[in-house]
Amino acid sequence: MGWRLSFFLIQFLTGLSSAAVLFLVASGLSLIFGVTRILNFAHGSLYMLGAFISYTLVQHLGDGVLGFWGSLLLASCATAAIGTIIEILILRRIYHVPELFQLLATFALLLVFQDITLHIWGPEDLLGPQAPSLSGSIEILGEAFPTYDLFLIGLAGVVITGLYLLLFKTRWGVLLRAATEDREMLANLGVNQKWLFTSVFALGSFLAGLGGALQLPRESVSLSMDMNVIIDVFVVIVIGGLGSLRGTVLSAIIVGLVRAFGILIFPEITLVLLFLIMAIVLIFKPHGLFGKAEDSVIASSQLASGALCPAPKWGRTLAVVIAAGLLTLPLFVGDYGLVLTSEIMIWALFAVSLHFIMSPGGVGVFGHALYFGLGAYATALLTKYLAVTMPVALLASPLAAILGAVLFGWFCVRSQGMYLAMLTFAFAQMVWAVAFQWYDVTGGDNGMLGIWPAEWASNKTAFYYMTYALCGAGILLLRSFIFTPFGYALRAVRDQSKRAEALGLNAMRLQWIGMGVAGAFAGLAGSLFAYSKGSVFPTSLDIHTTLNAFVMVMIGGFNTLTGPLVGSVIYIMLETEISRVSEVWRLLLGSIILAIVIFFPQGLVGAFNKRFIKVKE
Amino acid sequence: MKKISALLLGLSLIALTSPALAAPATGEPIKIGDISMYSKAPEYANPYKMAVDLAVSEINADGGINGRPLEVVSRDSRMDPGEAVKLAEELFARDKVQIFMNCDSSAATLALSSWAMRNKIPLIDTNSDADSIIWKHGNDYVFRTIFGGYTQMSATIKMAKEQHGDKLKGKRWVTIAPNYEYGHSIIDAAKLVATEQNLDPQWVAEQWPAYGKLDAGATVAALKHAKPDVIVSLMLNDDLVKFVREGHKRGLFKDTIVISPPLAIPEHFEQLKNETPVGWYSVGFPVGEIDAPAFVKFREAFKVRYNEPPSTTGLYGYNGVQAIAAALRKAGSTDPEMVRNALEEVRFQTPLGEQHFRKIDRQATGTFWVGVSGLKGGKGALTNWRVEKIEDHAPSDAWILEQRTNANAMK
Repeated sequence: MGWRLSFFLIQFLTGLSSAAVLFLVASGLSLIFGVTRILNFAHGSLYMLGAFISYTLVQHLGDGVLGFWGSLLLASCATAAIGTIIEILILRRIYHVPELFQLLATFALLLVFQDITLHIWGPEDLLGPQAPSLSGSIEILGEAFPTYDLFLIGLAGVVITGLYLLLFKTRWGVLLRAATEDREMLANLGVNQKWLFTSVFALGSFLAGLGGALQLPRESVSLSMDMNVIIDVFVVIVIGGLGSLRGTVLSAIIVGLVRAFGILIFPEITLVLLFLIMAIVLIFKPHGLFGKAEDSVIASSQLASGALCPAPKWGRTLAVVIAAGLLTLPLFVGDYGLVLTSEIMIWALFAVSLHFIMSPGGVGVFGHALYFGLGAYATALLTKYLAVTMPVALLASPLAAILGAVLFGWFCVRSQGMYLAMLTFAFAQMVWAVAFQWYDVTGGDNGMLGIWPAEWASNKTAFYYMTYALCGAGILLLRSFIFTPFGYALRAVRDQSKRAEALGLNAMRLQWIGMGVAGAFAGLAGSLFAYSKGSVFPTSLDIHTTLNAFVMVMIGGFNTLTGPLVGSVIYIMLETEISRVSEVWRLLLGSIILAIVIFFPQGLVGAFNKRFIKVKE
Repeated sequence: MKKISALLLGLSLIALTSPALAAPATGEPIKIGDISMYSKAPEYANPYKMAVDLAVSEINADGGINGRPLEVVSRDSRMDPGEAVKLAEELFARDKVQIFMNCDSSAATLALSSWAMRNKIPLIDTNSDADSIIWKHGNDYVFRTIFGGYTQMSATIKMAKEQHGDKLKGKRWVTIAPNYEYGHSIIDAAKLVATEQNLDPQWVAEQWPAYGKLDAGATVAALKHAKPDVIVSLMLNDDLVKFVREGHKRGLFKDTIVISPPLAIPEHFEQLKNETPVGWYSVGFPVGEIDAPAFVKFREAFKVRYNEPPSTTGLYGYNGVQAIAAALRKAGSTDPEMVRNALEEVRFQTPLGEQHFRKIDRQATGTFWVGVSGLKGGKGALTNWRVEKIEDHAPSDAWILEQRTNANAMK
């Protein structure tokens, strides 16, 4: 059917109004990133808190003109105060840790806030009042359009002007821009950065809170607001270029419009569309539309550096003892013990593969679940549509993951730092969205069921031994790669990329291959995971899967080889035991991550090595 | 004072209703595994659990199952199918649980049903509206106490047809539903029903927002662009609120007939308050107005214990426990296969009267309420409602059999 002008205009305005909200939230995040270089997941929490607080205030102050707008304003101020406290208490302590640790720490904050909000406001969605005198609609070329949406577009215009004046016409703005350009120079000139950072954080939090509070007349206030908005906002500021206000404005408009019109053409793939735009922009403009290469990075982007040694003699003996112990495990524990141990081994393989690419490989990926999920889905799709047998699927799944790594890795190794992290995140989210929305093929979030192991491996003991053999071999292989010339070359590129290139090593190609290797083993782990559950779900591709592996590696320590193994055992045991009895699992998990990042960045095994083992230099 | 009198009333009710001689059950408990969406949708799962606990304590006070009390072991699935399967595995292997029930999303229930069939363990589904649970992916170990999307669509569309007569024929229909099992299977049902009832519909647009992520403005504008006469909406919770607000502002509902089975549950009225849309055809739960004696007894017992009326999920959870108890009594054993056989045969008492599971698809019989949404005292309510029978709104046996045979052939 043809698109009349009126409809086109309405959809255009609708897109702009969603861009307006995106911009309010994204501009705050972008400003914060500009000076602190932290991509703050907890920005989503601040947005959500803004909505919850304004809801509560409206209940007390009434929904008249004064009560309603007063509540919104007060809620935004309260959010700014909360943001300030977060900055002073927590973020100040992590400005110098590697950026992926920062990303994780802020994600941990988001988890903590989820549980806190749940405990204060309860689980029900809350519906706030409509905005006084803006609850109706006006006619535009014969079509009704909500007045409130027009108001939002106008408000965004006011905020853009205000921010522009603030940045370019005040001393504070000059300092802020200077800090974005070159922080060290600013520090040398005697500017107190501490309070500059805090004030930027307060402003950004205010905008996030305002964005959330403004949702009151549009949707009910719910606990999923934080994740929903933060992913959109990440996409917006990455497309626009981290830290660029112009870029944020432009990309919010692009995202808003693509969504509004995309819904008409592709009603079923709205989620994929968003990440697709982001990936395309990053391929052609690796730093976003208006972003600059990061030259003044205060955080070290390296998670690990320095030498790695093969295990000492007693370590090897211990490993053999443990391996033998696991071999006799079915004699001592029942089915449940075997199921749990199989699960630990699968996660350990996945964690080791993540460790391989991040620590010796030096590639700071933030979407490793992609390969795990590719392996799992390859298994499921092959089983369901081609009825292949288990051995074939186990072999094909790593290949599928390698294919993914070859494709996505080619783009990833061309960018660096936070952009690389975001690009890997975008690819993982994109594949997740495909699995989630391609209902006819992948079953959407029903997942794919009935992926059981072959008859000979179907009893728990047989499956345990198979997992033992495959995961054991995978872990040993990955470990041995580190001490091959390929492994040394990878580490040379990581520690001294310019020198390594001068020696004739092709850094990009090495890292690309590294991603393939890590991807292959993650894919194998994913395939085993599918068989162990008898089913595959989009959750195997989502950020929580990435996060699980991350936390396992962190608990053990990034700069060790045994860390991921120890970490996965501890993490799965903790999760199994605690998440069952405790209602505050997210709070606890978040606190653990924060504690590790702030107080214990070397991890358990790292600390053990430091204390008891003198690494030969 | 009010509390004390409520307590007295409760005690006297219990004294009146429980047989004088029954001694509380004391033997080794029979465990029922319950894996439900506690942390993700507590507003549905908690009232379900309250009713399940009520049923269990009534049964135990009444002597349990041949002297053995029932014990419900509850776990939180977080609405995650993978997690649900993991927990089932754990309860089965570690806690020796041999019968399961749940109140969860259709995705999690489907995963659990596949697991149940593989391990030959009976599962009572008390909450999935998606009919694929019993038809397309149905298997012999899954029994359902709630009624499904086909039944809901059949009853609401029939009511709309009665109201509008031939004016409903040959109209432009649009659909909006969340892009997962629930949405797809019920929209399929709507299309089937509209054709079966000779409405000659033209399906001119569909929207499939991801659950919880509705981009309301753009979606409503897109639907409106298709100039619909009839809207079939399966929007839930937060998405529903956004859809209603945006739809009103943009005039989507002006001069359209809206069919929205999930609208009229008390949970949605609680959220929408005086913004509840009026005149939508829906299935509901007019809990305060139902006067069947068995239901009144259930409602009052629930009120005495929890100081609030039971919810929809509560009713079907309560029925689930009744079915399990009756089957355990009939089987005289906890052996899963014998319990499953007993479930196929047994007749059990519920607040809606005696029910059984249809042999053909293991769907519970019973009644439900269909009407149009309206406002009463500043809050939403189901008005002009009437009672319908589940059996009267099912597709033909041949069709069901074909679906289930295909399901089994695929496995």
